[in-house]
Amino acid sequence: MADRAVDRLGWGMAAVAAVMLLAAAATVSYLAWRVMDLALIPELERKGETLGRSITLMVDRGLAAGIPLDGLVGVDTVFERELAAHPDIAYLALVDGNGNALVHRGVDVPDGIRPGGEAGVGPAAGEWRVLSGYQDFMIPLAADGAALHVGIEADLIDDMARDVLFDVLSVLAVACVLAVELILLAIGRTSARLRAIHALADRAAAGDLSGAVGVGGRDSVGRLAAWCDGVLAAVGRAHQGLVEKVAQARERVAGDDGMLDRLSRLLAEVEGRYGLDSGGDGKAEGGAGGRVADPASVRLLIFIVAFAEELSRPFFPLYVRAVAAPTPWLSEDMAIALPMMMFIIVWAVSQFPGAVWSDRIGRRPVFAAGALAAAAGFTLTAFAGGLAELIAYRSLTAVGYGLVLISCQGMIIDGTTAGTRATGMATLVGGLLAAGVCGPALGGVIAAHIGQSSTFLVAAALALTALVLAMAVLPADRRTVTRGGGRGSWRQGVKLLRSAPFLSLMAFSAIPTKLAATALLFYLLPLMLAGDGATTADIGRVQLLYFLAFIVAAPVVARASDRLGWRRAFLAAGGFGTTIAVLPLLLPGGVWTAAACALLFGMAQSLISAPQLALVVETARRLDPGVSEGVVVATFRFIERLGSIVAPALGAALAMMMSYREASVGIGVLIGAAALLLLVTFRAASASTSKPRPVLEETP
Amino acid sequence: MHDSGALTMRMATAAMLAVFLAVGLVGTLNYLRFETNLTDLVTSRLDVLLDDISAPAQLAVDLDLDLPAATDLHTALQRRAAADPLILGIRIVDSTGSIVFAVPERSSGGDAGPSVPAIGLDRDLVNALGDVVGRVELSYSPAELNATLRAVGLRLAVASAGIGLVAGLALAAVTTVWLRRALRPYRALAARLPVIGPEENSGAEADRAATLRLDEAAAVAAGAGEAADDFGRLARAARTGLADLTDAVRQVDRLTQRPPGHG
Repeated sequence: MADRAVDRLGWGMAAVAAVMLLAAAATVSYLAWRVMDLALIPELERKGETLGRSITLMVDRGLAAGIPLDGLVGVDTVFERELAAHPDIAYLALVDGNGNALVHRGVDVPDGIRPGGEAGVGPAAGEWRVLSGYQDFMIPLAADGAALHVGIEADLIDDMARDVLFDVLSVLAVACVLAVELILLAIGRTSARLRAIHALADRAAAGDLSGAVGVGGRDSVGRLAAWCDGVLAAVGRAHQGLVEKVAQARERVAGDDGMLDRLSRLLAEVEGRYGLDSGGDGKAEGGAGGRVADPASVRLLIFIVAFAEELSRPFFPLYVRAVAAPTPWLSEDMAIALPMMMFIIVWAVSQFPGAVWSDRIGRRPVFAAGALAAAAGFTLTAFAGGLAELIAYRSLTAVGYGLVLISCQGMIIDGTTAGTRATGMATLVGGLLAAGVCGPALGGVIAAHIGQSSTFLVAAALALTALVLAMAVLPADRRTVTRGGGRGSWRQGVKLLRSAPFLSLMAFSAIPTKLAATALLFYLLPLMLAGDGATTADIGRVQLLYFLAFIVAAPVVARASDRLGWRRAFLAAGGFGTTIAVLPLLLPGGVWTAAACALLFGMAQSLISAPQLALVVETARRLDPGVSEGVVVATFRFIERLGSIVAPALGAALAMMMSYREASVGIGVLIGAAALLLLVTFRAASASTSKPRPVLEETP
Repeated sequence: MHDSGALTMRMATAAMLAVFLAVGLVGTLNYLRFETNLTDLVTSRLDVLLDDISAPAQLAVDLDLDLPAATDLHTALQRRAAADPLILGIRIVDSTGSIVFAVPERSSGGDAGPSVPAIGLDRDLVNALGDVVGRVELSYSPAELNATLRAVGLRLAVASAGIGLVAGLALAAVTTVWLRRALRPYRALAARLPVIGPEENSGAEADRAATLRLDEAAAVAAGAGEAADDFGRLARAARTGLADLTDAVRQVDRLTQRPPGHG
């Protein structure tokens, strides 16, 4: 109860913060618009004046040569050329002494330029005046009363400000995500302690009096956590007293087997009723397990490293092009693709040893090694001198990122039970998605300001920051690895691949999900939008909608999935949701239908993400309760990547046969069909394997 | 430290950081957009100026005049340069890159200031056959552009900082008030729940004392609303557990006090 209240408080605070951010950003933007207005208008007028004087010189040369004003040839061509070259100029007009426009191009000439036109706003040489919504500048010619008029739209600066509006909204979305991250981090420790108290009370009410909150503090919640630990410690002492009493009694009745048996049964019965354990050596064990990492800290750590990686996303292809010298045996496209492909492959592969390693030596050292490798990779990438070096350094970064990701997933597994795993994983995925939203948007701005190489150095600094933070906030205790099943080994991964339910999950959910995300979001939608004439900024905004929908929906879905326990149903709903998401593409509407598709697709994918990982782990543990969950996650991540690898090829193949729009719909239908197959095959495969054993609710 | 002060401090800091980040980002974006717009506008104006400057030279080329022979070009260039003090230099070079005419260059840093990179533009001179026979180069002082950018940047920075500070403080204040209100039940509960810690005595007496305090805690929690629900449930469960453990100890005593063989 209390934990939910604090979570509600956190989200409420995030909502208030978002409103405040909007208000503050709107005020800053308004002021910026006013300042821009003051600085840009004079420059725009100077430009119009310069252009006008340049044309006037030309016309005056003709007049000086004795050509009459109405006999000048080619003035219209000059006007057309200049208007084409300067879209900010609204019109050019050559007007005789009676105010008749002899030559004019652009929008209709305002009446006011004629003598006796708009009252009080007649022509005035050498100054700008507002006439019928235009700024007009008049330059007299060397003919009696004749003049050249240059016009600029009076609202041009407003239009420029409106152009910034979408960018500001995009940045604001990024800022809101960052705000939510910061607030959730701030409230995370309190929320985690209240959640632990709630879980403890739940277990106690169910008869399990083992365990402890473990993390106290001097504030009221910390004191309440200490109080809970005190209560269970009192029970522990009473248990210890009983254990000692039984031990003394055993000594007294040594040789009386019947009595010894009764004493043992009495102790076992009481211990069994309350989840207490004397460990068989006559000494009661303390309930508190090893310390686990706070999910908010894990979320922050993964956010920082993923954010560092995402910074280079908007310009990485350009960076490769700049660094890699042209090679006769390799096309430029392939040269750009190679480091990216290597990154994905090395990243996926590195998670296997990372999982095994982190099971053996603990999560923190693996995270530290990963962050260090990523920092080294980013730094070296900034100074890469060729394609081979770039591939090597990006591979090093991929190893680091892979280790960081798998160790963070391990920490979440350690800190959750089967019943809260989806929520825990949603926390992690939320951090990754937030980085996906913020990283590219800010990376572009940073790179524009300090350069692409320096942006990699910023990424390296961020990875090192994560390393320092990890050493400060992650528990160093190797015994923390208590919930992730047994120790990991390669054989466990191979064994999983022989299991029908696991393969069904991979083939009909994991791979299709990744395939849809890559093919639709990063391949077909951008190409379709570009074909419709959308700008790269429009494409970026449409993609942003996907991430925002995902970030908002994922935690809600994860909680619902944990509460209801409907993993498979959520996966199927997400698959069918993907089919529904692509349907707007069948309607006319360009960017708007794509935006609707991205929004619905983000929501559909959020139905899958956390429940999918939870179901993968649960399925693996049904097959082998001793399996390392780290290895399970690594295997899952590796296989789902096949979807990302296949996606561009499948998207391209479909696009060759039909339009991008139809290809996108085709992918959506394919995912819906996969969801149907999952429903059918997963049930059948689960039934055909050994009778499912209930997933034990781990004790902390 | 005030009860729950650490959390309030963390939340207020997070709120202020979030506002500063947002305002900073929006301010930076607006400035970068302005910088692009203004630079484009200035470059576009200079393009018109360069067209104007290169027109006599292009006319000479159109008339098939040898560039060094068109001596009035030099006068025209000097007149143009004199008309705009921000023009730092104009040069006409031939197809080999040798200077044909040049207006003496001024320092881009003004009379006293250090030299800064000038804005450079050039325009090819093309003859009737389409061959490039020379080039007009214009270097223009960026002083005015930089001054405008600096002034606007400063105004935006000051405005953003001010707005950020006001919004950040307002959000921090809202956060503090809200949090204190939300955590009030926990503060009250932490103050009222009886301490259950290591007892001076041990054994049955300690267990009895703990049981009494658990009863008291359950009673406190029962009257403390939803926030205390978890603590009440824990107290009641622990109370039952303690009672059973105490009872088990008694059972052990009873068992071992019986004569052997009376199972």
